[in-house]
Amino acid sequence: MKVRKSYLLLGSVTIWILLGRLLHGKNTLQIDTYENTSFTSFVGQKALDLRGNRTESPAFIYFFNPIRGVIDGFVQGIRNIIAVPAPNSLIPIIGWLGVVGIIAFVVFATSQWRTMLLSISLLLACGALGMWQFTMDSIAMTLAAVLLSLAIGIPLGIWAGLSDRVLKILTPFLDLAQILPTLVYMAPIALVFMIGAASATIATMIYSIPIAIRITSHAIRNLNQSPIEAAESMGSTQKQTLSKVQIPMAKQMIVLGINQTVMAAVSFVVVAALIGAPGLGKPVIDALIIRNVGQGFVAGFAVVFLAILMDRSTSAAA
Amino acid sequence: MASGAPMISVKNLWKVFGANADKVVGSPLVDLSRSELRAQTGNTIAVRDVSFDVAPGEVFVVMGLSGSGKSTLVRCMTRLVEPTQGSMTFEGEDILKVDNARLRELRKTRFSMVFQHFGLLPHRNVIDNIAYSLEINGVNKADRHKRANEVIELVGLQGYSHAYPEQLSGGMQQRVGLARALAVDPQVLFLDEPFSALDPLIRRDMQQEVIRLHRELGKTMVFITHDLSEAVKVGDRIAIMRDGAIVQIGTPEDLVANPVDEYVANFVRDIAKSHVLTLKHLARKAEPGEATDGPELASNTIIREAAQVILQSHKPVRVSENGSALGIVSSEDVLRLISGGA
Repeated sequence: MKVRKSYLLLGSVTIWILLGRLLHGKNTLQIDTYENTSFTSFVGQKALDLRGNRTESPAFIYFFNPIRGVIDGFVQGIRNIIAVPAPNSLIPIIGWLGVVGIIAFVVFATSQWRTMLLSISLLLACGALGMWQFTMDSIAMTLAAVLLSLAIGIPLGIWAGLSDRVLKILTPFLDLAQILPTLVYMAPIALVFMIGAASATIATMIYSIPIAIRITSHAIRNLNQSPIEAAESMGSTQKQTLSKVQIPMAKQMIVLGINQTVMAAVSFVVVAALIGAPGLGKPVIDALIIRNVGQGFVAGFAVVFLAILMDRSTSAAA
Repeated sequence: MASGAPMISVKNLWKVFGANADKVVGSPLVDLSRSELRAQTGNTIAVRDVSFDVAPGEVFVVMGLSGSGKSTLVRCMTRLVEPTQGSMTFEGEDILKVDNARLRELRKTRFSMVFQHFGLLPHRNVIDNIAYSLEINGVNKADRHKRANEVIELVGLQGYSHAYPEQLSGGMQQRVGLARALAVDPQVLFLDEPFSALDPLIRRDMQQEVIRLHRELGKTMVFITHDLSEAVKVGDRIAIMRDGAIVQIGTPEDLVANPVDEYVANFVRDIAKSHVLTLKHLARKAEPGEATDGPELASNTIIREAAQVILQSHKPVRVSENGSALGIVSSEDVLRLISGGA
């Protein structure tokens, strides 16, 4: 076997050299660069068709557009409370001091007064940097994306924690969502949902949901089985075991998952400014475009403050 | 042991792990050794054709080394592990045939289980751990706390109602486990190596506790252990398991006096015979010259309990069974037995 293989290798090198001599400069089989491939033009044409069909195709009328409407409305609702003073809304206009008060109240309710003081000073610092409006928009975006991510991610995570089959089905999608570079899926999403808060929220969700699902399912899977067996031996139904034993036991780990989901969302919301997310991403990207290092730096500071605020307030709850 | 109809009757119970388990039972495969079977089909026989009865009020001990299938057996009896074949009759009803709703009903009201690693809910305090089974039975909060307090008193956990499991020692945690099992006033208590995780002194206390509870409440118990001295202490009858099958079932005295094979004999070797055997075992004919007018004792007296009387008496003790004389036992007989002779 070994001898034959070495002959084969030697033979192929010989043929290679001979063919190289004979065909030098002829039939070079040049391949197109991506701009010129038929696949690129095919996809490009499809994308154009899609954009043209936005008002006619049933997929848009009955599926994508309603989703966009609901998410836009959701984000706008949160922005109306904390970011944009809406003139004729039912909710009273609370102003920046009111927002600081609400956030301080929520943080104090879920953790200690020290975290509350930290939150207040971080918020005021963002204000002092002149980033108040952007910071509020980012918080609204993050909140919307996180709430939707958790509403989908935690139930799916619990399900994947209980069922091997569900985990097996979900895993490739989670892998895909985490491996795709974010810049790759932003354009198709913007194509379908248009530039704006809805696209930004969905892109953020794609980035943060896998974390919620993975940590929740891990939390459910790695519980001490002994109390679960005991609950079963006492005649608990599956639902009772889940709600009275498994979820309470997994709670701490799930809260950690929430914290990680929030952090992913905060970081992504900045990038999502590329497809129209309101918030701190805007001054960052503007600064990049006009090469204004100072403005980028200030916005960067505000992002860091926001991240610390979000992390401390959610991890203290754990 | 009570007479009459058994409370639990297990017949030809099999549990085979692995794919196509039901094809293994009844085929020649069952005669293969464990490793051969695993190599051929990937199956493992955990419980092998086990049959026994448990009388009402009896403490039935299943004893075996780790891997003998005893924990699987007790789980099969309440279907925490689904058996492959056989039957388990409880008060005339085949538990292995009932539907899920009925099975939950039985687990809620008739059966209770105590686990080696306690299985307490870490996020609930003692009283709510104990009240859990009542909670899923739909008992309201006031009533279930009232009942929980009763059993807290029964197992001696007063003052700990609001402690969390992690704040308690192992022995205390297992008291909570016992209390939880007793809260629904079950008919049968399954105890799966309940004291194996405890240190020896606590273990002895807890064994006494189980004996006391059994005396006070008279519950039927199926008690799993790997410790023969524990088995002898708590058990009315003991089943010895090896490789999934029962080797011998009998009273502690039966096992010590008449072990069926080398395996059982090896097990019971370390048991103090005087703690288990009765005078019946020692009674012999009087030899010429021996006095036959010593004090009289019943033949079912444990030798340890009779020892003081025998050793203090100047004459051999007369042993009688239902009024008729069986023979005599002298101080020398007792000493020879205690020192390890016949």
